[in-house]
Amino acid sequence: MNNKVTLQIIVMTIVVMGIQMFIPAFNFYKLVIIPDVLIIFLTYIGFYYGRFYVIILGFLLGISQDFITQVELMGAMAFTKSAVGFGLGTLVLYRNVWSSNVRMLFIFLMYNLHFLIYYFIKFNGVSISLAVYFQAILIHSLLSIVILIVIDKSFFNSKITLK
Amino acid sequence: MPRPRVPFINKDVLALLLTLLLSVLLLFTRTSPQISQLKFQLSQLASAIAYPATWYNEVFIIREENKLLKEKLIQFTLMNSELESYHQENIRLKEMLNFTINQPLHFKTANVVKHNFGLPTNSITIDIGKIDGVIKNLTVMDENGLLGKTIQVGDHAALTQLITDKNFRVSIRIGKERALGLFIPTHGKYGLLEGVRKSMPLTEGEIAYTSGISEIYPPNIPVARVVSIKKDKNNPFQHIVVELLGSLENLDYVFVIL
Repeated sequence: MNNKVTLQIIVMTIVVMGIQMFIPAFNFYKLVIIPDVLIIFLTYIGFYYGRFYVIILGFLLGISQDFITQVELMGAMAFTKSAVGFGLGTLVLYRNVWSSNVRMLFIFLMYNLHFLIYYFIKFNGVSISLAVYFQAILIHSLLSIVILIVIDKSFFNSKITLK
Repeated sequence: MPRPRVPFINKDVLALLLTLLLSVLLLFTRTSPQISQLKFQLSQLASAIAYPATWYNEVFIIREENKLLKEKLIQFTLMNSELESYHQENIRLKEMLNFTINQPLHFKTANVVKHNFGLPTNSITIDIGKIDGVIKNLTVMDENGLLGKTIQVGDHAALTQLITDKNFRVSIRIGKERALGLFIPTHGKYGLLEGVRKSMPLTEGEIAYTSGISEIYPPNIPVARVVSIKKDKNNPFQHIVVELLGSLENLDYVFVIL
């Protein structure tokens, strides 16, 4: 990774952090939904640069997110984003191997894992019920994947969604 | 051309472990109720996972303990058989010396009906007398030790001089060498042991028993416990302060040795 690319990533990180800070939350059947743009950004980093960068960036973004939104759970987002970053970094290894469907399924599972770990910590370590899974985790995951598809088709010429 | 070796732990795994460790450290330094609950849940999970190992260790410890206990049992069995042989030898030797066997003590329980802690005599009255077989100069005690002796006996009651009375004296034996001494009450539950020679090794907490020399008191009745010992250069005897064993507070019933 040369200096130009590093600078681009730093600038992009700041922009994405800004977007995440000002992105509006909305209610869906009494559930507050906040789209997670950071995880989409991490998906691209994983897709282009591999595990190492996505883990480090995931940790830094997660800790910033914790610091801004939930000081009492400081470390929760950093943990989930680092762990899921490892998985998302796998995308670069199979870029030319997996079909778009398999890739999207893998990304969806990673998002699912991300929100599952996060809500497990948020709900005091008690096992997640099916209702909570459908209300919080699945909706967040689906929303994230929809945003990813929209961004990918709009700005990245379907790099991830199409082979 | 040889293929380059791929290390087992590469930088990706190392970065992951490091970031996860840092995150967990940050998370567990929080003191919020959510994190406390999370810690509790995780510790429960860890104990459930570690249960087989704990169980195995416990089994192993029990086996070791069992082995030790078996060894001890063998030792005690040997010791017991040795003691049994000594016991038989003792019986034979006593028979050879025409040794008389001590008679077991016979008690009579009596209720305390009157207390008299004033002058001139520190005494109590009990509700058994001549009709019950009580005579003058019988030993009175409770479950802990000596309390006094009967001094006047009526048909249905008896007056008992307490051990705390100023005129009360009792011959005692104390220590490993069973040295003779004399118990003299001083004040309250305390008293002195007189006549115990200075060379006699004594420690605090040792118990003085009746010597059996007296015609009134049978031997080996606990009298008092040593509280302090002083040795004076000018005195051939030790200055021993003792505390009575018999409970004089809330005296309700006593035993009279017939």
